This record gives sequence, structure tokens and C-alpha cells, in this order.
Amino acid sequence: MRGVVLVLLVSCALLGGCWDRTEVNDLAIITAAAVDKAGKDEIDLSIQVFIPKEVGGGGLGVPTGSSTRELTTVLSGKGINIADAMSKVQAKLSRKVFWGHCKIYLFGEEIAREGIADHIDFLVRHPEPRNRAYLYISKGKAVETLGIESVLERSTAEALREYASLHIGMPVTLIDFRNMLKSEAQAVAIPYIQEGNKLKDKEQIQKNTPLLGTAIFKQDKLAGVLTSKATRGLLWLRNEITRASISVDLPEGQGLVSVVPIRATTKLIPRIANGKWSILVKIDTEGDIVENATKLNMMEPSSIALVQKSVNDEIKSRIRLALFHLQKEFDADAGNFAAAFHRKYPQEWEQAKPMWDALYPQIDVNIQVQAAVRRPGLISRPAGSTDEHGKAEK
Amino acid sequence: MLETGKISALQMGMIIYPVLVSTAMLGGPNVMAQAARNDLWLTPFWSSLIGFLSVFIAIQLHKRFPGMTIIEQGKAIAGTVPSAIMGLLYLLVLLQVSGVIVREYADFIAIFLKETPLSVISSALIVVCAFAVKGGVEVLGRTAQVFFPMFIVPLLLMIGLVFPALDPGNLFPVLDRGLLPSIKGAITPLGWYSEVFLISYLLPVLANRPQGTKAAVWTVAGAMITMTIVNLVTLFLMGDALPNILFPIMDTARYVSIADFFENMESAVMAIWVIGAFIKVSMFYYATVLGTAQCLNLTCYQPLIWPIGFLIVLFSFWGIPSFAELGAITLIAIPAILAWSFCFWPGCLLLYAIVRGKRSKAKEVPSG
Repeated sequence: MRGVVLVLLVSCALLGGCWDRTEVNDLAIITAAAVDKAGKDEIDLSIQVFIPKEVGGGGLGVPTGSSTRELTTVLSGKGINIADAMSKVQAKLSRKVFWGHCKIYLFGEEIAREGIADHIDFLVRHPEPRNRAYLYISKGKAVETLGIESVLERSTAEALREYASLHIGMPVTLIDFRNMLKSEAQAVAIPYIQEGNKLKDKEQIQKNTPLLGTAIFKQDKLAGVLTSKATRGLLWLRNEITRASISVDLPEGQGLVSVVPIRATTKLIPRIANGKWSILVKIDTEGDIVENATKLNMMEPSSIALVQKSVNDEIKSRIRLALFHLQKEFDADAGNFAAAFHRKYPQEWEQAKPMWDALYPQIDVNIQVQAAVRRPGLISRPAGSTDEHGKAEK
Repeated sequence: MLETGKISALQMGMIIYPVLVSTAMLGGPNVMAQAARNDLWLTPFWSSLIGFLSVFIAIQLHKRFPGMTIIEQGKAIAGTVPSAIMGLLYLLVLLQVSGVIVREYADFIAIFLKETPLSVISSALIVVCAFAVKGGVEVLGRTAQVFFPMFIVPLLLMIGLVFPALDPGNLFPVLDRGLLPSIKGAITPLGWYSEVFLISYLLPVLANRPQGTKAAVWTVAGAMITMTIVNLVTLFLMGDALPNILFPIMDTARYVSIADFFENMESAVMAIWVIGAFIKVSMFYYATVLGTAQCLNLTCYQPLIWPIGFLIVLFSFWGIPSFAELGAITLIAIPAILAWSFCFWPGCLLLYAIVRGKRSKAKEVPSG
């Protein structure tokens, strides 16, 4: 009897229903969000929302031209911060916004110059946004990127996400940003993409690459932008390079050779001697030849040695380029030398920490590259060579 | 004897392990990182020392007074009146700590179930735990045994999945500010490890008593190893950001992304946490109920279950207006209370018993 009463009492408590029940068709799923500066102390939040009814009609439904139907729509709202702007956007929607599938956050250049840490706070504090979402800084207004129609993917968000997973530039997730901001160097790097209205129609998309380089932040404020070429140098420094071909000009062979690194490791070895701070960047890499436009036979050890030497120099010059910008122009330690010094010289670091900004540009950087070309690909002599004895001519 | 059931030493370990680890699963690395920074891997070692000490005290007390829980031992050592006062104080502590654990559980669940009232979350847990306690120690032991793999497998799986993203470089510089920060970081976990003293309630019901010591020591060692691994993984993943992240394990789970579709592992962390909290609260609940019955010389403890459950829910709200307040309490006050009641006070009893040469007069009831 008591059991029955208990069961009745408990079920009474539960009959109120489930408070946190959510149905998929009550949600407006955000696929990407863009934050721009709207005016003094105001931001403009734009979200790209997935339109669910357009999907899945393909099979039996009325055939519709795929180019005419839109899969996403963009909504904007102004507010003093993201939470405030979000409530304005919510007012325009019949469904509750859901951040759980938002994979891309874009920030406009202008707002990036003023600092984005306050806005990131919302994204890392709120339980819905994903830690693995990618961050991008957009040239001009970020909202324009959301409107671009992607050629291959369902939406810009999807396109940018795939782009990030290709690792051509430097993919930066929310969690990476948070960790970089808290690190000793307090410098952050985020990929920098082309202005949205330069990628509006097909022709422009074919002509322009979306990725322009890397935005370098000092703490949370945009300090400057590295070009694509300098970005490669930064990636080498950060041990994040994956698949970027290196093309070198070989004067001996009168032409270019391209090498794709398969493996690469970078070590930062700091040194403090007589109060002079220096760092040794030690790179070990190996790769395959993918293109040979010289007259050299790539099965000859001597020509491989030539290629290796020029690859070494090329990697060095890329790193020098990146470091020139980082040290002399932006004074932002995106290569995280600070952590290297902190780890090896904890005491010295504690003292030098407040003056790191002044110290960083003065650090001497030595670069040592050990590039090994392992395989020549499928052919030995250049494909276009008419000469039977490529080596003899040399 | 109020409790007639028997459990094995292994089951005891499986009850106590989640008791030690489940709170640490939630905020542990964050709490330890605040003081110890990148030396937090050493912290579980320091704090586990009190765990071993508590095990030693519980075992020694049990050797002198076999078949008795700490409440009964108190009576035998200190006499009726002082032990009654101490016993009531002790039960108040158990009630308060249970309340805080329930609140931690409810507050964490409420991050995701925003609109569900807190009282419903905590009551639901207490109702389930009440059934477990009603079933007695055997049910407790078996549920712990059943849930143990569910507690440990998602954790190992998660660590495996984030493995490629770990950066061991975050460990350095090792101990650059000396040992002190890592010891400071051990203050809060001290409380968690001293909870191992709850074996005092389980030792009398062990079917294979000789294995009890070994099981208890291994449980503390296992909890220490688990915490060290968890600390290292979160440190390798988050580096200097760790002291700012309230639920590092959940953050780790959210980081998992395999082939772009195997994501959102936080439900696994929720599962770990719900199971861990269930076992932990059940154990504290059981200890409170049994202790009260023994303190008041009752002949059975079952009638106390619902009233005490109600009190635990009340204590989970009493004096804790917000999560920030809860954090402040669990940082210093609760560990101090725990260390006092689970290590210092039983230690004093043991010393007193040794000095006065007190032992159980009655011959030990043969077990099994």
C-alpha cells in the first residue's frame, strides 16, 4: 500500500512534464555567426540559420532547381554585446536559436582591432557553442561572408569548416583561441579571409582565394595580418605545417622543383647567455618531389642534395619573413617563444615576463633546417625532357 | 547488528572508488590547478596521503573493535554521553556533506537542464538513492559493481579520443616554484581522500575481512592514479587556461571530434557524473542513516531513510544561494570538515583507545 502511495506521489511530481524538453522542429539551428562593429559601443551579430524544410524534399518531391532554393538564411541584430544582440535576433525568429551546430565564428576586421575577448567569453561560457568551432577574421564586414553561396558545399559555414580541416592555413578553434590567450605569450593567430563582397558571384569565387593569410592578435586585439607566404613561416614555427608544397628555383637546373613535406617537426630551443636571449629553431622535415621542371635527374643523389639545400633556404626565408613581421612590426609572440623560455628558464622568465614586449623584438633567432627529400615520385628525369641523358648536358 | 547483509572486499572498493573520484571528475583539475598550476600532476599524491592515513585509522579501530562502525566504536571508547554528543555532531557533518554533494550534482545537471527546478533534480537523485539504501549494503555493493564499468569505460574512451591533441610540453617547467604550490593545491582534495574513512561502515559487513585492508589501500591508490591521469590529460589539453575552466573533464569531452561526426561526448561525462554521484550519495546517505540508527540505539534503520533523505535535500539548499557560494564552500570549508571528521577525530579516538588500552570486550562475531 505504501508503495502504491509513493508511486502515485512521485508520478504526480513528474506529471508536470519534462521542463527541458526540446524538439528539433522548435529549434533554429545556427550554422555560422558573424560579429561586426555597428557603431560606438554596439555590435552587429548576424547568424546564418539553416532552413530545415528545404532539405530532404529531393527524393519524391517536386523537382526544384538546386540553384534557386536557399538552404540558409541570414538574420542580424544589434546590441551592446553578443547576448544582447542575440535576444534581438531571437525576436525575429519563430524558433529558439540553437548554438550547438554552429561551426564557424567570423569576426569583422574593425571589431577585431578593438578586441574580441569579451565576445569570445559568451561563446566559451555558454554551454551550447562547440569548443571545436573554427574562428575566422574577415576583411571588411564579416556578415557579407555569410551571404556567399558556396559552390560545393551546402553553406558558407560548411565550406569554411571543410576549409579549416584541410589545414591549408592555420585552423584555430575556440578552445585554441582560449588557450592561446591564456598562454604566456598572449598572442593569438587566427586565419584571415577575403571580404565577402569580393566573393559574391561565380567568377569572383573562381578568381579569388578566400584565405588571405593570418590575423595576428596581441592579447585580444588585432595587431596585423601576415600574408599567405608569411603564414607558412608561422606554421613552420608553430610546428603546424602539414601540406604546403615548397617550390624552389634551382639555378643549376634552370628551373623549379616542388617538394611536399610529409613529416615535419619543429623544436624551439631557447638560450640565455650573458643576458642575451636567443632561440634556435630546429626543423626536421622530409618530403617527396611532386614537380620537376629542371633538367636534373631526380634519381641522382647530387641533384637531390641541391634540392635539399634550396628547400632549407626556402623554409628559412619563410620563417624569417614571418618573424620579421611578428618581431619588428606587431611585437606579438605568435610563435610562442615565451612558453619555450618559460619552460627552460623559469626563474629568468619570471623576471623578464613584465618586459616581454620590449624583449621579444630583440631576441636573436637562429634557424636550422634539416630537409630530406626521400622519394622522387614516379619518374626520374623531367617528363618534358627531350634529351636522353639529362645529366650529360649539364 | 542493524545490517545483516554481506559484501565482498572488491565490492567495498567499487563503492569507495566513485566516492573518492566522482567529485574530482567534475572540478578536480580546475581546483588543483588554481594553486598548483602546471605541477598539478603531483597534487593527488600529496592529498592521497591523508587517504592512506584514514584507511590506517579505520583498520586499526576495526581491529580493536571488530564488527563496529565508527559510531559504535565512539560509544565503546568515549562512553555514552560524550559519544552521543560527538555522534550527533558527526551525523550533522554527514548530513551537511551529503547536502553539498547533492547540490554539486544538481547544479552541474542544471547547466544543461536549465528549466528543470533544482529541487526536482536533487529529489530525483535522493529518491533513487533511498531505494538503494533501503535495500541495504548488499544492494549498494551490487549496484556499485554493476555501475563500475560504466563509470570507468567512458572516461578511458574519452582520454583515448583526445589523445592526439595532447601537448605534453604543457608540463614544463616542472616544479619551477618548488614543491609548495603542488602541496597548496592538495588542500581541497584532502577532503575527498579522507572520505575513504567511510569504509568504517563497510568493514563490519565484509564477507572476507582479511582482504579489506588491501582493497581499501588499492582503492586510494587507484583514485590517486585516476586523478593524476585526469590532471595530466586536462593540463596537456588546456595548458595555462586550466585554472579558468570550471569543468575541465567536460571540456575535454566537448573537445572530442573524430571524423567530423563523432562529437558531443559531454553526455558521456554526464553519465560518469550521474553514476558517480549516485554511488557517492548512496554511500553517504547509508552512512548517515545507519549512524543515526546506531547513535539512537534503534533496532532497524529503514524508517529513517525517507526523513533523512528529505533532510539531505534541505541541506542541499540551506546556505548555498549560488554556484559561486558552493564553490567557495567546497574549496576550504568542506575539506576542513571532512578532514576533521574522517581523519582527525577518528585518529584521536584511536589514540585514546591505545593509551587507555581499550579493546572490544565481546568476542568478535565470526563473519560469513
